[in-house]
Amino acid sequence: MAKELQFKLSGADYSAAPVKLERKKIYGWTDTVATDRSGEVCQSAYLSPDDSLIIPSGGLKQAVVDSNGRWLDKTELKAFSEDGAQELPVLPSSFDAPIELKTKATAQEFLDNDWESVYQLDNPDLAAAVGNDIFKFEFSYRGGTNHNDGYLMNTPGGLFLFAGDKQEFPLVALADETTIDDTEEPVEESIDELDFSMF
Amino acid sequence: MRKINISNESKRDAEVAFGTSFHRPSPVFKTTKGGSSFSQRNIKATMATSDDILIEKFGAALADELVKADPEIDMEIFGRKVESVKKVYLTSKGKVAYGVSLNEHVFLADGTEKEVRPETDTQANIAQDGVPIRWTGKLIPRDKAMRMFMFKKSYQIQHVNGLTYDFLFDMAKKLADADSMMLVGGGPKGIDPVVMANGGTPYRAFLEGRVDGDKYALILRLTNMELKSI
Repeated sequence: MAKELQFKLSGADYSAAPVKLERKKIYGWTDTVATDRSGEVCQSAYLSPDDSLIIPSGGLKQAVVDSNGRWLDKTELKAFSEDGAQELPVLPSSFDAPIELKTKATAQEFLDNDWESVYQLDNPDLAAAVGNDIFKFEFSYRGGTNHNDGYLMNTPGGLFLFAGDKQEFPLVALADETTIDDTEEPVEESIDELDFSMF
Repeated sequence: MRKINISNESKRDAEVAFGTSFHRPSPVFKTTKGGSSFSQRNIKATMATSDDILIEKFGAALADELVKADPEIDMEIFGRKVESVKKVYLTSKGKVAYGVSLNEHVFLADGTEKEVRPETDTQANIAQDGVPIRWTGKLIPRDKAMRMFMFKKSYQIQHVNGLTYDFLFDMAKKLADADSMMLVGGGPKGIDPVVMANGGTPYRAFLEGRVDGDKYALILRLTNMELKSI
């Protein structure tokens, strides 16, 4: 059985298993298949340019090492803030304890986020209790040093939990004119199947 | 900030700037003794240690060989640091393939294959001369839009001189007064999805405006997913 999140709202308890919302589940997906001149399907691999060694797909592994190149185990590492000054607190997973829905958020507060993940929650009683409100809370799917702001909101498609981080959009005046630079944004991730039948 | 060519409700267009100051912080990892740590890519397997080759070589005796002699590990190469690698395609015989064609197999959400088509690449369409991002006229109340779409990325659009201040302030005010978002589009007809960078994801784009006195914020919100039940 899928793990459930527990919520407390106005003295009542609710639970629901979050299901991640993904494009492939709604619109489908695209697989890119390579074929050679004879039409035979090819497998992807990597070529090390130093010695022309062919490395099969899945044959590379990211590792963390110290300044002497010695492999470090996760248990030997501590997470710090980006400037390296502050040790980051290790937080529990949101599955470990009930989430208290006490703080309501405005539409603007909700919109001004960069979403990391969105989950569908199937619990009609919780959806009814949430109504048209938007609730905000601390959220961490796995626990550890990564945590987000979580929002719970009803939509015509059901009740969704949004996990993201605040993004600022400051109001600007005439004196705040900016300049255009020519830096090209790096190419984004490769595209997947697109279906804009939504309109 | 980067350039975007955008038109207003009256189809007057101007080149203005857009960008974001958003940055999701990445933690830095240190050893328990306070030493630095570095992330690097290492070789885990080679073609000679791949499952297919080992099965071919040892057959039914593979399990015993794995326990006895560790043939799945190339002691000379395992763990070697790799700086950069190139993607290649291999034939069924494990040789580098040449003259490779890439086709996209498109699947529906239920797993049915819908079509096969040659791989295509997308081109950015936000800063083309004479082809601005246009208002489609489709205005959606802000509360409705945020409950319909998952906005994956958002950028702030900003003026580059006095003229474009008036131009963008006016747009933001119209949208703020309507408490709505305007669907905008790219391409010659202004109805195509918006592509922010070459090779980038096509998105449906909405403009949202906020005004306070003589200050404004004009936000371009991008989505490629509806909030639908799955």
